[in-house]
Amino acid sequence: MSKEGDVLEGAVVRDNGTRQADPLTTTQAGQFRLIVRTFARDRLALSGLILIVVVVAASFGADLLTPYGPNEAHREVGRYAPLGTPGHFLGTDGQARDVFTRLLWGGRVSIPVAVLPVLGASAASLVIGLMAAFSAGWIGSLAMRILDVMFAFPPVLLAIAVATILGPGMMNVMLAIGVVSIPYLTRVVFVEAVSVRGSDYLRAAQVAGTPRRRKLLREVLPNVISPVIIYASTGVGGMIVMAAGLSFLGLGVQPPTPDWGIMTADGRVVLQNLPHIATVPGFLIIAVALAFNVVGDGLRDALDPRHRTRTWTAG
Amino acid sequence: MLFGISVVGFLLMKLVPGDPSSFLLGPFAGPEAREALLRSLGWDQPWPVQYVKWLGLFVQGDFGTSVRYQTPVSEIFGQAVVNSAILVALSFAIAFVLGFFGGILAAVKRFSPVDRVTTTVAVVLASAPVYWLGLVLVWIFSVRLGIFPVSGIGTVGAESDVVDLLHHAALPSVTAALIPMAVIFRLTRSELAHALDQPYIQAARARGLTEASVVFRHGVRNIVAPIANVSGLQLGFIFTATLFVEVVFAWPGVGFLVFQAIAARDIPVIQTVVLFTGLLFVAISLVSDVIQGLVDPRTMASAGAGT
Repeated sequence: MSKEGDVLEGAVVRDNGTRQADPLTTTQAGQFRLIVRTFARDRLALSGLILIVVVVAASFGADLLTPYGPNEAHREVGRYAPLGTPGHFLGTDGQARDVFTRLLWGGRVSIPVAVLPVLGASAASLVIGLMAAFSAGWIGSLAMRILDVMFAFPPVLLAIAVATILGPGMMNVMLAIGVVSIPYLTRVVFVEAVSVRGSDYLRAAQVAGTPRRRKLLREVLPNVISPVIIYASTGVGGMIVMAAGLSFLGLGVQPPTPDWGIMTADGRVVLQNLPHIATVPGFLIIAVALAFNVVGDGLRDALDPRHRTRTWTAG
Repeated sequence: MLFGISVVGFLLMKLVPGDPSSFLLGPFAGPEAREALLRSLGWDQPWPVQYVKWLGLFVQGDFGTSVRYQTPVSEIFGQAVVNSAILVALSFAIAFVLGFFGGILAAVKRFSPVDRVTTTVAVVLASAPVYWLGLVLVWIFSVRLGIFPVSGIGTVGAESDVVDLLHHAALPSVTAALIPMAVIFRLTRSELAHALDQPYIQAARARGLTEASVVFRHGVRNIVAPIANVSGLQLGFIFTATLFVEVVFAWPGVGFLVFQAIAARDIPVIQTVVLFTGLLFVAISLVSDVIQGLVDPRTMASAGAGT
């Protein structure tokens, strides 16, 4: 029952940290420690985070881990060198390039290509969602109508449509993923903001004469942002899979850039004799996407005060 | 809603860089020829006018001409839809039958290790790219075991018959069915396990009903609503999964058509597919709302208010 333990401990931290009569008001430092502590207790989430850090570090430190360049052809071993070839333990691909090296470099492409647009989309959806919930004007509701239309399309097809308009390439596939993510994130913001809109504490701020800007930034934003963080971190997993899928279809990142989706597509030709070329990048995609999912779940437990309170009252 | 979807389809045509003159006339055409062609296609008129005209044609079933095949899109599209529908229907049948009845079995038998294993498998599967699952299945069943064909919809040169078709459809439909099957299985198992713990089940048992009657008439009946709801969502998932599956298995359906259209920059084809998918998804959500209302009359009032 570690859940109960750390919540109780959290309560102690709260009391020691603030010395206030009301246990719900905490200093920001205390709150942050509580979040980190809850997250660190969640072994699955923590191992997910570690996996992400390791894969990202390996990708960006590729120069230290492998002596070869991602597009360097190794004539001495030839095309399609098998597993376990000396110096190339994952063999080489159809252009005699080292598979292991390309996997590492692929991480530099396949991960940011999903993470950056989701970050951008989160920021955009905060603006759109708050505007739709708090401005009386027609712009907000028009935006929500447009997003309703986007919801009608399955995300993959919407991404295909956007990528078709923009043309292939890394920048454009990131734009496509950003556009596809916005409706989902905005709905999260909007639903949360509407529930805040009717809350007593917001009315209290109103009565106290808090300026509108301060009200939005200090009262509403903190309550809206954690669901966005949770949703975005879970969403990154799906977007990594989708970005690789677009590359696989030829709409995303273009060869010779190393990317896990492209590597899977290239490996199809030799599936019969060298199945690892097509399947190993897939394992990496699954591992990283899963890691983002469990990190998202862990963040949900750590960030959502309702969730914490629930485990607390249950114990 | 329908207006919005049609606007998206229209914009897809207008926003793509370059106009039809560049691919119809080639790079060496003079500016006069270009302008004449654009005028004959009506591209010199304001966008709203073009939109109305285009929509009028579209409603009549004229979806434009494929750049790649130089034939009306409706011809190519029709056959592809039939092929895709076969795949989607098979896939949904597999996912639903195995997921639903497997879930019932697991809930009744309550083998606890099954829970952990299936939950893990379902979570891992949900993160796996569909095309990758397809490749793995091809490797296992076609390359290693040699049971199923690697790709295509029928044996080349042979008379097409149902057995041959099903033989070719087995791997692609299972690939697209894997994830929805896991989702439906988990939901059925947990919902039914919960329902079987309710007092009315005890009451039914106390009245001396047979176990089958208890499970099906009192247990399963109460979980139909959430299952129907999720199955509707999974149908949507299967449709998008089929896009990738068709590419992996060279199945001549809508997904394969899009894949070829992407390579050839065949915009009218992509446009038609995007539009129809939007319509299809609106239809699926409408139908699943109606089914929801039928199986659980309590939601009728709120469902009507929601949409």
